[in-house]
Amino acid sequence: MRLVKFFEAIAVACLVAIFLMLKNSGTEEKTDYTTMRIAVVMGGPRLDHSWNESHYIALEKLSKEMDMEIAYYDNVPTNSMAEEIMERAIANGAQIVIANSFGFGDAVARVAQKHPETKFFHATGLRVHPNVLVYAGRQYQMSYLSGIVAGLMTRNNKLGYLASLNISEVNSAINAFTLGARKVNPEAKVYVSWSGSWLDENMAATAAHYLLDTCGVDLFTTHADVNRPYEMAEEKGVWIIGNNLDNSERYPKSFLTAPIWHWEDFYRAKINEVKRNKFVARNEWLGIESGIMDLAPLASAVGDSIIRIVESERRKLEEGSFDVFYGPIEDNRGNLRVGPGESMTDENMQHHFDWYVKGVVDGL
Amino acid sequence: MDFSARVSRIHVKMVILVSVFMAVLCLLCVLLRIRMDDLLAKSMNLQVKQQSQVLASTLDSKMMSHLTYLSTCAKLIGDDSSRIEGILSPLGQIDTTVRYGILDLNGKLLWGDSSVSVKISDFRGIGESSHGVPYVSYAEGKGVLMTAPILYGGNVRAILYKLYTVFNDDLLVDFSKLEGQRFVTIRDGKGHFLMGDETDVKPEGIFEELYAKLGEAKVAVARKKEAGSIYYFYMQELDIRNLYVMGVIPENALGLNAEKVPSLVFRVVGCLVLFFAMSMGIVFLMFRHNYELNRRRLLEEIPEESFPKNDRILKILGDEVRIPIGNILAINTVLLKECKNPVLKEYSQNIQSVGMSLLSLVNNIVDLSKMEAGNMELVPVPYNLFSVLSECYDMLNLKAADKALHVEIEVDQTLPTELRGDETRLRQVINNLLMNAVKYTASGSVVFKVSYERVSGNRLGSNLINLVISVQDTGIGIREEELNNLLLAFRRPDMIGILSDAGTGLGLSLTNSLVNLMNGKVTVDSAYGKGSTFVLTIPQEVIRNEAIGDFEKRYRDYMTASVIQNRKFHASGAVVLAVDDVPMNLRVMAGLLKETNVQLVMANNGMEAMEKIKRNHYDVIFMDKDVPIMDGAETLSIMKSLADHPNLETPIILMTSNSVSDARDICRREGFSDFLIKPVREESLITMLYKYLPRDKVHFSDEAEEGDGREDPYYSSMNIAVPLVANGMEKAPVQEMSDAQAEETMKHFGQNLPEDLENLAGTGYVDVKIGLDCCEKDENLYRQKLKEYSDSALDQSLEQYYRIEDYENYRILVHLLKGKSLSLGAIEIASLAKLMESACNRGDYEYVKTSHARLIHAYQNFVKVLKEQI
Repeated sequence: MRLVKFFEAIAVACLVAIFLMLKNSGTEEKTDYTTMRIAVVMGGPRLDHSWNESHYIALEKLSKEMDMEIAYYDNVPTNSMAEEIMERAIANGAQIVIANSFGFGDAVARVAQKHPETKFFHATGLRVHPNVLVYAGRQYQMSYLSGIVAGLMTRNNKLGYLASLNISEVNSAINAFTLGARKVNPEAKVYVSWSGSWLDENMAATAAHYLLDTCGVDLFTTHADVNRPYEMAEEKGVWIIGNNLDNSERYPKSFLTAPIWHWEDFYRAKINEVKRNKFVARNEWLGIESGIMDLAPLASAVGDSIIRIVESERRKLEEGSFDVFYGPIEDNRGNLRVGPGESMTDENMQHHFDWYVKGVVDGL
Repeated sequence: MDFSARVSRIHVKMVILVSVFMAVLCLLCVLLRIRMDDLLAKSMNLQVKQQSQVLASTLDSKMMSHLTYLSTCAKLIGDDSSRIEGILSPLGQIDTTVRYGILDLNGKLLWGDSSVSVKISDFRGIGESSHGVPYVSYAEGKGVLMTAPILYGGNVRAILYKLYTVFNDDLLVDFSKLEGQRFVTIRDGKGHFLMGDETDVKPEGIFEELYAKLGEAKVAVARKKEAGSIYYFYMQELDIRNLYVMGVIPENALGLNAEKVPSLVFRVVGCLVLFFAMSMGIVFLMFRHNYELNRRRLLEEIPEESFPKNDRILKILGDEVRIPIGNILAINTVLLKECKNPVLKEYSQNIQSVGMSLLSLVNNIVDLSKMEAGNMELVPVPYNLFSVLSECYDMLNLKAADKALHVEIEVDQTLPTELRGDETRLRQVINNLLMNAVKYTASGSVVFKVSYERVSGNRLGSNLINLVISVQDTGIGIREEELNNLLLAFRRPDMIGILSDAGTGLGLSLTNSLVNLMNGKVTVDSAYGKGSTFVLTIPQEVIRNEAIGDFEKRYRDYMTASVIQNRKFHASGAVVLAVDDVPMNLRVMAGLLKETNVQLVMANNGMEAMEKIKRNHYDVIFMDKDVPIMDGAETLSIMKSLADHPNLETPIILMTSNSVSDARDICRREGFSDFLIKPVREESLITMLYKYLPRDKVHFSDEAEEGDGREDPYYSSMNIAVPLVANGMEKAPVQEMSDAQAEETMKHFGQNLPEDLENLAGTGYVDVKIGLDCCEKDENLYRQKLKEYSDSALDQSLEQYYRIEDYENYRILVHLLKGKSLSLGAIEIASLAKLMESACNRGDYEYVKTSHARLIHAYQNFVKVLKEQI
């Protein structure tokens, strides 16, 4: 019965061939649907009640609805350490590296060049590379709206602005806040106090002290990713306009509102682009109409009339018929910076904002 | 085919296996096809995607170039607003459907065509350009708007726009230059056609399908079959938000002709599978066939080795067996003759009879093997029926006498005698039946009847009759069931049929086969215990209508003649040459001829015989067929080619151990006068001798009857002319030899040699006997020739020719050497020389080269021995 054995052997061989064929055809298409590995590199802790937490919340939400693994690298200094950590993340299989601080720019540029197949999302970054997407929100639009709230809520017309670093991003926000406040209250003055850091709580506290004790403001806003100023405001009983996250529950007495972020839609779209091979590296400066930012619900202390004014200004911004830096705009030295019927270019706003509008009292 | 349970199970198993296997193969085929299609579609998709991307980026860059131009205009206007008209006039010339103008930041028209209003809410680009960014935006129903900021001192003061209310070719790249027919359209997010080449091929919902796919990929591709052709639809978003490029490419325009590949592969694989299936079928059938064969062998318990398919083996076997049997019989003949002790004589007779049956069995086997191989051919010759019948009757009488059976013969007196047919075969079948009858009849009688019937309706000119030969015996008969078996055996004239019906012997089957071959038939009628009747009916052609007459009377006459033949005669003056390489055969012949006083000269090989024939006259020559150096036929043909020798008229009788028919063939072909079948029987030898010896040399013992002059009815009926010695023919002197002298001669051949020749013979280099024969038994002459030979130094000349490769002279020399050696009786050297000569004739110089040394060596050794001895 050697013949029977022979047939059996051939039949088995054929079955194996079929199996291999099917197996092969099964695995090929899967590439789009493998688990996405994402590394998030942050300058501070992920639960900072601020900027980092806004990203963390959005990504955690996405990780529940999308098939992805996220590795968070907290408290990463912006020096060469950042590079090492990004390299490690890529070695661990990260396909996307999200670096959410302006200060990681150099590290991102260098690592991205070494790993062209890895995509980098650099929030508040400025330099686009073939595999680096840079993005930010037009925060000045929110600052403008919160400035309106501030202008109407102040009693002594002294507003404080706790600013982190002297960069265009912050300057545009100071100016927008001032324009908003003075639009509704031409008497309002904005005192700026520089903390010199996004994250340092003590420096922020010092800067806040200056505003509260030296300048005597009855309302101030922060433009750093810190919490101490909120506590101080809560203690002193002055109004505060927060930054990045709605902290009204933690500081119910003093917290009026804050420009806040809604990153999830943005990240969802961008991660899908990577997944589907549609990634395009560009510089995105997203306005209010994009939905990535909003104003935290106004505190009950803010009257309806104020809310109505804020809403109407907001609508104008959303329509695109108006923006904050439409002329005429005079600087705090009396020069007409933007003529009537003129507007500032994005280029100038993003990179060359080195002056302050009328009403800004330069601080430290 | 066998359908026993076991075999059926194997059948079913095999069939299931094969069909499962084929199904798997087909599945494999289909899968392969699917996979191929899949792969191909993928590669097509990829190609289409790439084309789409190229297309989209081309379109994008075209838009971008327009935008860049607009930006440049805006910059110029910003630098010098007074030149607006000059800068913008080229824009207006493009097309009337293109509008352009300048807006302020609030969307108010500052300059330009007021007929169409451009609203900030419609075009996102206005807002974007307010931030200093050139932009292209699309609004449904409004068109495409390109906007560029007009800067003043670093701030945006106004916005220059260009509105395409209708999509024109300015925006689209000319794709007509692309190979093949391509339909490229630009559509918005709702699928509205904006511009491009619309195609007829537009499956329902294709836009929606592609649009949905775009959520997943940068380029959407869909493969659709429309009106028998395959089309690839693709879509991709342009840089301008909400604008899409969409197109269709027919599969064959992709330029790969790849759509043919799967079907080609499919066909090839299909062919392979088909081929494979066929091979499997063949393997299966072969397996079945072998199985059947094995099974049958097992069933019949016949070892395969007994029946080699190859009939040649059987034939060779038959021939090989015949020779030793022949030898046994020959010796026995002498024994029988010489033996005086009656008990030993009886034993010897038993040996004789068993030997004869063994020989006939072997002959039958050879015949059958021939028959099976289809080599048996009839040789129709004119013959005399009477002689056939009388021979058969003679034999019947002889055998029947042993068992004391009564024999009767009835022959139709009008039976024609001059017939044409295969005499040998006819004789064989009749004898077979007769022997069979005798064999199975213990007592009673055998009746041999011969009659005939005319065959009606035969052609004019041909005269056919059916010989009807019946053999009736009173033997044991055949049981009815055995009769069936017998008939079955008749119908299956093959080895298996014969051996499975052991007991009937080969004879009946062979008979049946032969009769069938002769277009005749055999019928059997038998009653168990009472006897059987075999009837042969064989068609034969009548040559001359000469009635046979009274057979019994003729037979009696013939018998009387036979008495003459059987009478002792002596022919002291006759010299007979017998050529045979087996000394025993020669000795047997000598023994058989002893009483006739014939002088018997013997030769061991053709060459030797030839030498003798050239020199001396012989009355009869008996030539064995297979003798060394030159075989019988060769010797005969050389003899005939020689013009002058004393044996031109001598009858030459072939001696062979072949069957009668073969021998007859050889006789006819080669020109022998007659033949003797080995083993030589005394009667046939004596008869043959009597037949061919010149009458004047034959002396009967009872002289009274000699010279009677009565015509011998036997010979006249045989139609064989007795060769007479021609008058005036010179005859070699015949040595009269008495019995004693003959004895002397015999001894002389073997033993009585002078000492020196005796020694020479002892060296083994030379057969002194042959040598002496060649010298007329003159020892001195022989010695002289030996001396000449040893002095001739042929080896040197041979060496010389060999060295210069002069093979022609070499050949002549070896020919010379051959003759000289042979005449001395140096057979070994003669054979070597002969081989060399024939090699030279063939041009086989390789052989010459390899054997030269051997020849020279043999020659030199021989010469050395000669010099020592003589």
